[in-house]
Amino acid sequence: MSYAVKAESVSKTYHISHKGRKVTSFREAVEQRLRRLQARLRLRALLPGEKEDLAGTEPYKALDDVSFEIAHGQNLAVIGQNGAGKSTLLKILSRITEPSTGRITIHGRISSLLEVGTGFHPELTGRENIFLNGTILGMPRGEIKKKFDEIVDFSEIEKFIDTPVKYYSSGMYVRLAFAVAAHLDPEILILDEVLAVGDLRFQQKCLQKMQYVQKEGRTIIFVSHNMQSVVQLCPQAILLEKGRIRCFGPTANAIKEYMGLPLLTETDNKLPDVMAVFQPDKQFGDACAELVEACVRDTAGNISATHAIDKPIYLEMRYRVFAPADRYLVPNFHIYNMENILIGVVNPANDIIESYGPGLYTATCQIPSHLLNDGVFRVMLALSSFQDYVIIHFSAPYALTFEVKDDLTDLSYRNGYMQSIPGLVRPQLQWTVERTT
Amino acid sequence: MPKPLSENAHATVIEAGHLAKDYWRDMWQHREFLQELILRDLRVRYKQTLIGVAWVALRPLVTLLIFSFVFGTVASMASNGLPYPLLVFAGMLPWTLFSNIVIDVSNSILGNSSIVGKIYFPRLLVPCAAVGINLVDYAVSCLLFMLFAMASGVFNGRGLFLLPLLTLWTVLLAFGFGLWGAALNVRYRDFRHLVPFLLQIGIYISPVGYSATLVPERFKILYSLNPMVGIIDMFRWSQLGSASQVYLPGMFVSIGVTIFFLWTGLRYFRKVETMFVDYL
Repeated sequence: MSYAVKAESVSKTYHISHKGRKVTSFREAVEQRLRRLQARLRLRALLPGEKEDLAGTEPYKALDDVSFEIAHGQNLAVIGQNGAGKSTLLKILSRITEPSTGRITIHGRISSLLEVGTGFHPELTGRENIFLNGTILGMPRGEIKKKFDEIVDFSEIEKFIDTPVKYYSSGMYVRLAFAVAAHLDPEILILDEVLAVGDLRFQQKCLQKMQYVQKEGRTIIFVSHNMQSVVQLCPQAILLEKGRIRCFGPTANAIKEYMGLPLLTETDNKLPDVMAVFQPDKQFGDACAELVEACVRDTAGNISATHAIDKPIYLEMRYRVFAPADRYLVPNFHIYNMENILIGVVNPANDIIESYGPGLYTATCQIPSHLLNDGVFRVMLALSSFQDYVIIHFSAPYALTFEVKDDLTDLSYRNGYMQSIPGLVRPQLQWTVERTT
Repeated sequence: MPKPLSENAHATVIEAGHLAKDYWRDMWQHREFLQELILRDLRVRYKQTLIGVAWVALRPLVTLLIFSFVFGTVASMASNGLPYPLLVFAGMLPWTLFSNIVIDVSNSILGNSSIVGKIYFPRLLVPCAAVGINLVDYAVSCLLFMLFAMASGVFNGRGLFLLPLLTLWTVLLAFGFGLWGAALNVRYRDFRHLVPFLLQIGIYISPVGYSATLVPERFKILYSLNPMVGIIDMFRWSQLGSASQVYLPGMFVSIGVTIFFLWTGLRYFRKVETMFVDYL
């Protein structure tokens, strides 16, 4: 047996209803059955639309003809965009769901870790949860007993081991959960993006433990968006795109391919949360002013949700002022990333703002090129005034969403490094590098 | 220290329909998993507040008192010489076991969706675990019942050997119904509301608050289509002695209905269990 895992043209097909939803209520199902029964009692052919529910579905291939082979002790990373089929592949490998066609053969004991702390119960103590979680992950009870002290040690929460986990901080919870998982003793370990949780130091500790596991001749199949841990852990990788293997080989190659993929796929574009235009469906404002609309434009003045990193972006907000205001109205934008981290609040300079009279106003803010990094950003719109006391005349959270994309046209700051660059901002700063001795 | 890979480790094969082949062997291999699930439920129940535990006992007790009052005192139904509360108690015991198992088994897959969606195991173990905790509750109630019956001087010690059989019968019946419920609950989210409603009807069309001897002779066979009729009948007869009677043909009908529901429940559950993940 030369391989640990061998997949032979594995496919998984889901049937998606054209009507956009499945029959999920018992009432509807009964109605449907009754209608069918009624149709059967009369003459079948007389009733059109009877076979509607089969014709109304469309097969969707979450995985399409996926084949690969992994040798023992060789770690494999699975990368790809959301919806590429990574989770489906993991679910099939962990036997949670069956493939529609194809076959996978696995030699050796297999454990899968699609989540840390599967089955943890908040009412139970750390000790009880170690046994519960360990058993759920497939450890024999005797083995858990044997490794118990080691697990508690690794988790660094000895003091709270007899406290119900509902009183744990999220960090403690994750550490305990991971401590159990790290002591699994499988020959093949399937690992979903679980390293993304916990603090940095603990993440490193887990990665080290993982590598130790690998040195013992185990095989890890690892799904992650974190290219750094992928490189650290796996010499080879599969790049999935739309359910198919786009690339299978050395990790560096797969990552290069991955970075070249457009960040937004067709389906993502339809997502309502990429919004370049905001037209309020309710009133934002007070007696003094109200929001009319807002949008994101490119240099040419076209409304667009996607912007190249090397081009400036224009945030535009129109608002109506009612009263001859005695206050200076300050438009401002709060820019967040998708994890709700506030990147900054921006507003015009003092000398632009004066006491304007009633009327319709357009405020435009230019975000210079090479300021925001790759990613999706959300904007809260607000109009405030600050004389004597603060009034927020309106604020519209997450009104605009736009994406900044590095389409690799400007390579001047990349020095040959072609992978994604982490961080919220990526300014091209002034540097000097000179020989000083 | 490198660990040797097990030389003759059996190969796991994953393909459509393959799960079904090793299902029962897998169930056996996961017995510690089952044990741990039951233990979890017991621990959580035990840790609940005093009121929580009291509530478990209080609900059947209140029903017991109301039924005794309404059927025994207000409607003065025949009790074949038994103390009316005891007659109701003997009906409540298997009924409570039945209805609690049906409810818990029905909710078991949805209630454990976090595990079902993340880990492989034979799905049948989750409903099995839901039975465990109810058996413990039931055992406590049984002890109370026996003390009560002995105090009233109508306890039938000879019928005691039938108790495990009757319990098993009730469990299997409830399990069958529960499996239907569990599977349908996952598929159709509104089925959940139907189960308590059906059980509410069930308590009145089963001889819980009254004796089955009150049912007119010509309806007896029809009445026995409700499998709880046979169970409660047997239970009263065996535990309270000759003062109760068993309608034998009805009992066989009840057994037949039980087997029917258990068999179809298992079949349906097994048929749809691979799809659970897609619906959770």
